[in-house]
Amino acid sequence: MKGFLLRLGLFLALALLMDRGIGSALSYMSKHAAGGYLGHQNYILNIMMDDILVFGSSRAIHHYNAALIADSLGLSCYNCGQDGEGIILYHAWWKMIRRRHRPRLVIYEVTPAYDILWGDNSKHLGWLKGSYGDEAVRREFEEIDPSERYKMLSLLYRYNSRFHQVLLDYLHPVHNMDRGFLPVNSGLDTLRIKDERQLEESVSKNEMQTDSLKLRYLEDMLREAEGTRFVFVYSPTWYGIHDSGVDPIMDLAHRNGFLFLDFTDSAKYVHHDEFFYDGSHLNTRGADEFTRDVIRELRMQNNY
Amino acid sequence: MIYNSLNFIVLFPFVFLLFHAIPAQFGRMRGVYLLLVSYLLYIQWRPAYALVLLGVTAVTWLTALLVPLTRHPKRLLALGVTLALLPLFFFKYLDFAGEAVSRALAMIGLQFHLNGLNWAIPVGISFFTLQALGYLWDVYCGRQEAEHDFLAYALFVSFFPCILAGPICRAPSLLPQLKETCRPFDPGKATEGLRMLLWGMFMKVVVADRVALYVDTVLGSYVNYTGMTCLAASLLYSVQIYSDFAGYSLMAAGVGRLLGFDLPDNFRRPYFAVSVTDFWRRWHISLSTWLKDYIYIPLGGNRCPKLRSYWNVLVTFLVSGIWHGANWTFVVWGLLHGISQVIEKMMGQQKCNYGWLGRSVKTAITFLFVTFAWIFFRMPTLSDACNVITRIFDTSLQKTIYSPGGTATLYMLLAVGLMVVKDTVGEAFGEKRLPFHSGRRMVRWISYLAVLVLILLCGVFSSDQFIYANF
Repeated sequence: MKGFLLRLGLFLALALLMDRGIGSALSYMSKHAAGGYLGHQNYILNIMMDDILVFGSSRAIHHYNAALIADSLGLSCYNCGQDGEGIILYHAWWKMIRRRHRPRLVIYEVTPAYDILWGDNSKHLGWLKGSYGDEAVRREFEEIDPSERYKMLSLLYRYNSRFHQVLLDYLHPVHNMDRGFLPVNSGLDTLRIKDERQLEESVSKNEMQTDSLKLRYLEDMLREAEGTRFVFVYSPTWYGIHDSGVDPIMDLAHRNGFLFLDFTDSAKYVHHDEFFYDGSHLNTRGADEFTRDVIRELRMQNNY
Repeated sequence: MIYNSLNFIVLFPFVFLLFHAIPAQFGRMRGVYLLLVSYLLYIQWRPAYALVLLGVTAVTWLTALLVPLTRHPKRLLALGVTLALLPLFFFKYLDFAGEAVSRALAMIGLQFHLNGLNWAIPVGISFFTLQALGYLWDVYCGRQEAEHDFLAYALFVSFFPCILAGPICRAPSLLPQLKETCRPFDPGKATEGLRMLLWGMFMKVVVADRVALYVDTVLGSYVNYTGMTCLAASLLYSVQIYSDFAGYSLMAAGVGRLLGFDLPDNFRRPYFAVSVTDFWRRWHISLSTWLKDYIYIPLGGNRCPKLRSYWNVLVTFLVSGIWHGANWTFVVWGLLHGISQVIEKMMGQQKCNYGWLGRSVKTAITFLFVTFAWIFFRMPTLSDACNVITRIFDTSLQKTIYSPGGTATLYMLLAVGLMVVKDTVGEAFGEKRLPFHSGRRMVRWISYLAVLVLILLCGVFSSDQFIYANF
């Protein structure tokens, strides 16, 4: 037994050494990545001093032409959108950003599933794992999944499902974003259009599924706005279905005196194939058109 | 106990150390300790479930004790079997039976509805009931002496490594081990147990749960995907269910080895089978041998006229299907396996007498057939299963395959590729040729560390339940 435990101890020590060694190397590469998603993240969290920020999921990345906004409003703009992410990520990022910078305006692209509806929030902790050292991030982990505290003891686990991204962004950085904006130059892929009736049915159920944690994080973010104006935008979809799940965000915005722009039933976009590459995402042409519409609204309502 | 959970990683070292801390001469105490741990872990699911477990244990134990003493052993056996099966029927099949009855009555204009308890199925009920029934039958047939020690028998039924999803252990092999807990610690066995735990964990969190992300996305809303995508998801489901269940079984056996017990092998690279008959010699071995010994052989096995033996195969696989779940999809799945084996028997194609090319073709055909049958196993209703199959063969749909983005596909291919290479080497050259079993310690340790690193970097750590825990 003694011999077995000694060998097991030695193996665990080696495993720990490996975890620290490879984990530290990945941490270094991640922090020094100059391009790709990690470069984008490093810029947002450490360098960015832009006046206008765009938050949101893939609908933010593909819908808001940051250069167009900057040119039109005469203010610098950066699109901080991140695929498949919402308030869980931006709540932590906002806390980290505002320690060193207060932007003038945040355009928050709303995606009900990621920003307000009930769901498995631990799935949105992925991009925050690398920043676990930050107190705000750690607190969020505690609230969402306390067991993560133990998993995060492993440095390797912090790069779970992302290590190839770290290697790529460090060794072969790609600069395919235009101030965070990633246009999709493609026509509508009809295969990606979902059954509208099914979609409407599932959307009608969303009203009852508000996630109290997500709502609290949104409230927190607005409470800590201090000098930053927020504009919530629900950008167009090909289907033109308004998801009533976003209503609590609309109420929240109005209660705090912020703007909520709803483009979901805009006749200009609904069922207009030329503006979309799938049912929920605009293509380059749609994005430019939509960005101009947002700018127009901002000018009208805020005298930018 | 869910082996891929943090609870297991934290709790099991204590269970292991305390078990071996009890001096070997107090074997009885070790048994009591394991029984206590088994019940405490079982109670974690829902305390009331433990009463069902205890009930099935008590009924089968008592019946087995009385069977050799009574003048009407058959009647007593029938009573014991019925009582032991009652909870399984009420919790798992009442809803299904009630629905079938109400449909039949509706055809003659009568309204009837009976609410079942299938929303509260006690964990592992199908497994421990089968294990207890197997013991009862063995005692009845005289293959096993009735166990007088209730605690030893209770441990046999509730032994925590296998209560969730098997392997279904046999009394003649496990009961003596559970009674002889005074054996000294065996470091070789414990090391083998750790190896099994490590590879089992890899199969579950790196392969099964990663592949599940794709399979669940596609088959969960198959109407939005092309036939090619449905085909890819169906093929991947074969990978998922294998790595999920074989991973679980390996971990269960690993935990058993660490405590000094040999649990039966449940998988032997089933997708290398050359026929469906061969597949069932490699897939869920503990269930297939249970079905063979307690259903197929008592029905007459193959020592009867040909037609009768074909019937026996069909009935056995019908029982297998129903055992998996109270749903017509499982009935069809079981029948498909039964029919294919009858055809193989008729054509004499159960084994492979051809060269490597013939063997490869037969393996591919078997894999494709098993994958086809898995569609019924995976989909919630028969119409969903038929719709998926229709989409796969619908040539009018676009020939594109949905790819979930570079990252997910890359990790999935890496995970599946590694498992395929490992199984291919194991099948072609034997397990001993794998780095895990190398004669050189350095090679072994490097391979352990590499697998551990892969688990941490590529695993999906959402503590997802094992597929077979639902049965």
